[in-house]
Amino acid sequence: MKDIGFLTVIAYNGFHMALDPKKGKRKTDGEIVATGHEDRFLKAFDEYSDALFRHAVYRLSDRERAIEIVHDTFTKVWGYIRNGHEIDTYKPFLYKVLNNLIIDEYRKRKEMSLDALLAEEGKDEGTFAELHEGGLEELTFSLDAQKAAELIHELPPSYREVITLRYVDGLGPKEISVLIEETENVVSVRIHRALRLLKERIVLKEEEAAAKRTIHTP
Amino acid sequence: MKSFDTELKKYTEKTRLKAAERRELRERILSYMEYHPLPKQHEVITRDMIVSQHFITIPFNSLYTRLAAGVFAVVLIVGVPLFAERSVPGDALYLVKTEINEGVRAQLADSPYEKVALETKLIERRISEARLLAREGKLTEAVQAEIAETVRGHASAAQSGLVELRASDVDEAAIAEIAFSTALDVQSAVLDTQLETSTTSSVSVLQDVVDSARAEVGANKSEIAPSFDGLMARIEQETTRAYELLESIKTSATDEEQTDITRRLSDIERAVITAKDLHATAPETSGVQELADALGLIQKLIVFMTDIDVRETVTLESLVPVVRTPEEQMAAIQALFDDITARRGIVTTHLEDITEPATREKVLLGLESVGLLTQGATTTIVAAAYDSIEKRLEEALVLIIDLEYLTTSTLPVILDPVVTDVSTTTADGSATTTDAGTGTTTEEVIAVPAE
Repeated sequence: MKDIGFLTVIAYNGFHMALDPKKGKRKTDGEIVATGHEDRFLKAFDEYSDALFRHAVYRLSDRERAIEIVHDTFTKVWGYIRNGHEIDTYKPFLYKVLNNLIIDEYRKRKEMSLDALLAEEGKDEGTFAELHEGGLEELTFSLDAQKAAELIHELPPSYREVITLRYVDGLGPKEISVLIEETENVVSVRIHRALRLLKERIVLKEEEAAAKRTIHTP
Repeated sequence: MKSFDTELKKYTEKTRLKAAERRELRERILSYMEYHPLPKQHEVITRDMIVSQHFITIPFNSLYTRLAAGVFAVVLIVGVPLFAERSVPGDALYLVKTEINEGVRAQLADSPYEKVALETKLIERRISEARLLAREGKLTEAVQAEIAETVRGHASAAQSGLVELRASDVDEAAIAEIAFSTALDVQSAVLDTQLETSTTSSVSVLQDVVDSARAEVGANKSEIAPSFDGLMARIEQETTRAYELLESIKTSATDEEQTDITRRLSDIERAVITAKDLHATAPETSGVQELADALGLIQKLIVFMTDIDVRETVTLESLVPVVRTPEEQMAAIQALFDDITARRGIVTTHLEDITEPATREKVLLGLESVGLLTQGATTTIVAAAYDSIEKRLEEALVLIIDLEYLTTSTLPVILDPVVTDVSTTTADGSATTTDAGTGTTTEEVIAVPAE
């Protein structure tokens, strides 16, 4: 046991056994959950490391770099805990840190800034009417999931971000909006545009493939 | 057909860390945690978050709190029994004194000798408490009866211990008996003084209990004499202790008290030497009783030195009377003789002025009687005869004082009886006895000793 520098007297006051304060706390319904910082932190690693890694891979298209980014994510979170902060729910917090690190990574790669990308895509972040036009379900119905997955890395970073969060990580538009600090509407429009772009890319790839087959056909 | 969402998720889920990558990443993070541990204070925050409806959590995270708890524990374990030692019946801590402190001592007393010694000590403590209460006027009849009952119980336990000890070790039993008897003697003397001087509360009930215990000790006294060597060893032990105590009380005792104690120690040493000499002449029996008496005196002396209460209540002379050396006794005899001679001269001078024949005859007879009583005092005498010679000279002094008064005064004089049996022991050991007759008044007493 670590030198925790204090003594606790637990007076038995019911039918329950004394609780080791380092191991966890008791919820009112009797379920015991981990409360020790180390335990909770490692539990979060076991639970989310794969998802974070997957997210990083789809965002960075670099497996080795993705591992490093996940590592950095966890060390940053640990530093945050060491500073005396409390983390109630690990999942959004880990995604937030990971997302920031990925943005830093983009900047390091001297890729186009997000602002530049947005400017390239148009200052208009989209409207509800645009979402209605064509319909999201209609759009995804005609998309091949595997081909879409393979082409995510070709999307601009802002589109890649929302597509990864939405379809790879399974987050809802509201969660994504909180994470990337945009309105839910903007998130939805960006997902819509990203899918449309993906569809265009898939069509383009299919046409290129068809052309190649025609050339090679005797 | 599955939806795009599900299909895409299913496909992307294939992307995951390999087991080795995952293990390595976890180890790196654990290593980072180890080198960047949480600060101590942080754990306190965590502790505060523990919520339970079934437990009351009292944190002691202050150094001062822990120190205070430690001090409290020390006071409880050491301080309370220490304070309890000064308590008397009626005090809050008296039960701690009798039940815990003395209970622990009783548990530590293993051998029968130690048990007798403990019971003796407890009797002293109870009587001391009673006297303290009596001095303060708080010794009610009920409290005295209670203490008397306790003393009786301890005395009975000591007697039982002595019986047990006699069966196993005669020497130890004899020594324990002397110690017990000495303690009772001292307490009896102290209670006597208390009875004479006390104006507030009486300790007569306790006095009766102690006297009864003394009588019981005398009645049950062991018939088997202890060994001379055993007594000698104990005397050496106690003498050493007495000298150490004398050294330690030099700051608290007066010079007079110290001189008195030193004098008693010399007397005791002399008595021991005498006992040794006696034992050398007859090793079987002689000297043992003398040693036993000396041991009793040393123990009384030790009680006088260790118990300040006893020291303030009784005189040392009443506990351990001075034993004069032969030289001192000889000097006293000489002083008596000189005094008698001087007074005899005065009587002889005034005799010439007395014309009344009857009175003149009586004085002459008295002078003759004095001459007989002082006979042999001027010759060389052995030490063994000092007591009898001194006694005779004291009688002669009384007689010559009366004669002096008779010859110098015209008032009628009543004389003390004259000792009629006069014995002298000369240097060669031969003794002569003279019947001097008896008398109670001037007319009758001043008679010529019958030849």
